[in-house]
Amino acid sequence: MRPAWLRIDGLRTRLVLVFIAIVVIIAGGTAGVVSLMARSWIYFNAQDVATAQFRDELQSVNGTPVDGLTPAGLAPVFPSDMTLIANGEVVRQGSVDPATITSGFDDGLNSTGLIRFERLDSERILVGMSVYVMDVTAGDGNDDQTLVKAAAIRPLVGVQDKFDDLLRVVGITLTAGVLVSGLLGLWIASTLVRPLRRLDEAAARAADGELSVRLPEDGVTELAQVTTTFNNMVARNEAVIRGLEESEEQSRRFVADVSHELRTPLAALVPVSEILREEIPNLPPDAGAAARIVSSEIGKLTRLVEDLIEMSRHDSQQAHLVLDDVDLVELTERTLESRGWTETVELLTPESISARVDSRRIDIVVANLVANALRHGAPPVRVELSAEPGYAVITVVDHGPGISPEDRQAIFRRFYKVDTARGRSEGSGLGLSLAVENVHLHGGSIGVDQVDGRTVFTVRLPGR
Amino acid sequence: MVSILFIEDDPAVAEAITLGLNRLGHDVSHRPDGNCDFDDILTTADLVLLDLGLPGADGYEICRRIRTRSSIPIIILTARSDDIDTVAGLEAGADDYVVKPASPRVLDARIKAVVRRSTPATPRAEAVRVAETFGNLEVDRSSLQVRKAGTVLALTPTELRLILALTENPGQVLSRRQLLSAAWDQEYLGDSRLVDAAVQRLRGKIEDDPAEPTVIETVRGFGYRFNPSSAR
Repeated sequence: MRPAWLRIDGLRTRLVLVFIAIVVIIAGGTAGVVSLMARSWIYFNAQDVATAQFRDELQSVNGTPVDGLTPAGLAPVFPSDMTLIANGEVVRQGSVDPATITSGFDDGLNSTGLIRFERLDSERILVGMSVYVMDVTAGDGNDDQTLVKAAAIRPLVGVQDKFDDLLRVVGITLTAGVLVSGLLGLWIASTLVRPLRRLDEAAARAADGELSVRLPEDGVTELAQVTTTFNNMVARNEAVIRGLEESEEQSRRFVADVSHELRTPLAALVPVSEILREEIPNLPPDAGAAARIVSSEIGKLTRLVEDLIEMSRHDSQQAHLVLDDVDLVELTERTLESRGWTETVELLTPESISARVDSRRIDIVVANLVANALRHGAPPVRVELSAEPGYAVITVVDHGPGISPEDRQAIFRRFYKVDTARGRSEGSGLGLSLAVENVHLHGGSIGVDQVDGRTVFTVRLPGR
Repeated sequence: MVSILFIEDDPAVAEAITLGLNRLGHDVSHRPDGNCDFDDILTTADLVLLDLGLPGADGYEICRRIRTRSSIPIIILTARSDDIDTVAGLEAGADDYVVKPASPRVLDARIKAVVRRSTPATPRAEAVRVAETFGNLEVDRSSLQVRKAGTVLALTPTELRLILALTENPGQVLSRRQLLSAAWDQEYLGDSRLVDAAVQRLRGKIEDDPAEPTVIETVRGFGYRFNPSSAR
C-alpha cells in the first residue's frame, strides 16, 4: 500500500490538489483575460507608432513639387519602401505588391489626409495614405496637383518581445501561486491530519483494551469536539468495564469464599462418610442404602468444591506452575494406575518423553480428559503420547457417538451439558474447563476433533 | 499404632478425624488450640497433626515453636491449599501437608510414611559400616545420627532421610522426584516443593553459611547434589 500522503483519497493530497486547483482557476483565468487585453493594447500601441511615423513621413510631402510622375521624379520625395500609384497607374513598386491591395483599401485612399491600415500578421502592418504633389514637368504652368497613393508594409516594433515578457511574468506568478497554495494546503492538512492521526492511535489503543487512554481537547474546534466526544466515550467504556470487572471480581471472590467455607464441614463429613461406608455391611438394609447415598454424594460434593476452588484460583491468577523435569510417559502411566484405569484405557506411547511441566496439573488434565471419554464416549478409550518438534502431544481418543460441531467449543465451558435432558453426571461439570486452564497455564493448546467416527482430544504442550 | 497430638479448632472436624484415626488404630489426643505447654505432650506423642487456620497463634507459629524444642514429625492439615500457605507451613518446619477435606485412609498413609522415616530403615550393608565422614560432617547410618564437628545435629525425620539419601550418592545429582520418593515415600505425584523446603531447613543446620550453600548444591533444572569435598 502506498503511504497515506500519496493516496488520492488521502485528506492531505486532496487538500493540496484543491488549493492548487483554486489558484490555477482564479489566477490562471485572471491572467488569461488580462493577457488578452494587454495583447490588444500592445497591438494598438505598435499600430499607432507605425501609422504615426507613416503619416509624419507623408505630411511633409503634401504639396511638394516633383519632377514628373515617374519613379525617378518621385524617388527624392517618397521613402523608398513605399509603393506609389498615381492616376490609377503604379509608378513604383515598394514593399507592397499593388495586386494584393484590396479595392476597399484602395477606395479609402481617394481622399487625402486619411490614413488607412490593415494588420497583416502579428509583426507587420499595411499602411496607406494619399498626398498631392505638384508635377512641375506638366508644363501648363498651372502647378497641376496630382493625387499619389502611397502604401507600405511596416513592422510592428517590439510586439513579440512584449508578449514574451508578459507570458514570462504570468508563468512565474502562476508557478509561485501553485507552490504557495500547495504549501498552504499541506499546512492546513497537517493541522487536520495530525489530530486525526492522534485520535486514530488513541482509538486503536482503546480498542486494544487500554481503558485509561484520553486526549487533550485542543486544536481545531470541530476536531476538539470530536476529541471531547471520544474522551467521553472511552470514559464511559472505562466506567462500564471497571464496573463489570469489579462485579466479576466480587462474584469470583464469592465463589472462592463459599468454596473455602464448604471445606470445613466437608473436612468433618469426609471422615464420617468413610466410616459409614465401611459400616454398610453391619447396618440394616435401609440404613445401609442411606449410608451409601450419603457417602457417594459427599464424594461428589468434595470433588465439586475442590474443582471450584481450583477454578477460582485460576480465575484470580493465583494458579502457579511448579515445574519439574518429568517423563510424560511415566506420569501418564501413574495417572491411569492411580485411578484404576489401566484395564479400561489403552496407552500408546514411545519409550519416554521428557518434558518440563507441573506434574500435578498435567495429571489433572489427562485424568479429566480420560474421565470425560469414559463417561460420555465409548470404549475403547486410548491415550496416545507423541513428541513433535517443540511440542509434546497428548491425545485422548474414544469411539463414542461424537460431539456435534456446535458443541465442540461449548464443551469446554463450565457446567456445560451436551445433553440437557441428561441429569447430573459423575463429574463436577468443571473437568474440561479445568483441563483447558491447566493447559493454558503451560502455554499449550487443547482442542477436540471428529476423525473417522472417533472423538479426539488433543493437548499440545510447548517447550520440550 | 501411632500416638498423635491433633491440634484443630473446629470441634466437628476434630471429632470426625479423631473418630476415623482411632478406628485405624491410632491414639489421638486432641487440643483445640496451641496455647498449651507442649513439653509434656511432646514426650509422649509420636507425631503432631496441626491445623493451619487456628485462631490466636496460627499454625506456622505453633510449628516453629515445636521445632525449637523437638524434631517430632509434623503434618500440617490445611483448608487453605493456596500455594503460599503450604510453602510457608513447610518452611516453618512441617514434614508434610494434607489438604482438607482428607479421608482418614489418606491421612493414615501419610502418617505412617512420616513415622517410618524416624525409625531405622531395613538393615543394609552400609548400616554395618562405621559412620561415614565427609569433612567435619559425620553420618552414622546405624544409629541414625548426623554429627557436625562432633556435635549431634537435631534433625527432623524428613531432614534425616534427606541427608541419608543425598550422602548415599555423594557427588551425584538427585532429581527432586528421586528425593521425594527416597525421603517421603511419596507417590509419584507428590509436591516437589516439599523437597525444596526441606533442603532449605537442612542447609540451615549443616551449612557454614546457609545463604551460600556449598555442601548441598542446587543444580538448576535438575535437582540437588551432595558435595563431599566441600564439607570441612
